[in-house]
Amino acid sequence: MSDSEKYNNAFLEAFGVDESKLNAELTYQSIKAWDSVGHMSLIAELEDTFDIMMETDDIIDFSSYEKGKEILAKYDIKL
Amino acid sequence: MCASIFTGVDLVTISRFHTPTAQKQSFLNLCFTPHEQTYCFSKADPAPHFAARFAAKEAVIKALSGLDLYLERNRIEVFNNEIGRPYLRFNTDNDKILSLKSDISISHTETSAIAFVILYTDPKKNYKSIYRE
Repeated sequence: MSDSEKYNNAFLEAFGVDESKLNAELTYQSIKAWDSVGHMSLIAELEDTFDIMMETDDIIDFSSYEKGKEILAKYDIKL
Repeated sequence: MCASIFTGVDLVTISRFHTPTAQKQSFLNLCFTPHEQTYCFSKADPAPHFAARFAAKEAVIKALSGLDLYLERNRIEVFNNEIGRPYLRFNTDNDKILSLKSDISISHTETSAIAFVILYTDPKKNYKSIYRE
């Protein structure tokens, strides 16, 4: 499984949404599941999936599907 | 001198803590201290207790934002005293956060948990040097 597929799977697991929702429009609180609880579920999924520990500032800044790709690049995860 | 007061409130749907993702250990460790996990899992249905504590942490984060401060959820700890009244402990080295006094109230229905937090400075102390006015 590619890193992009793993990245998408983390969103699907955390939010239980259809894969068609994974696009530039997906931002914090743009869907019901991406609230504060969902946000921490997503971060936990990503940390598990990529075996990383995200910095606090990155957890706060992780505001969209696209922004998340930029943040994960800091952890040498190219998406 | 008057105290500066900062408030935060948060409402959480309890069913969110019945989902598989909210029961994963990595999620629990990101959001709750070991003591809180032990406390919640000692209950017949841990979900309302996790939800109430999560709401408490979000309320604290909102209150801290009034001071341009932030603390990770698993460093904000909710305890109950001998009569069950909740209180907060902040696990941090940040002197500004440690100097704050706090009060918290938590409640829940069958479906939702709510927490209201007040953070305030001690009016007897001079905070001008560390807090914005």
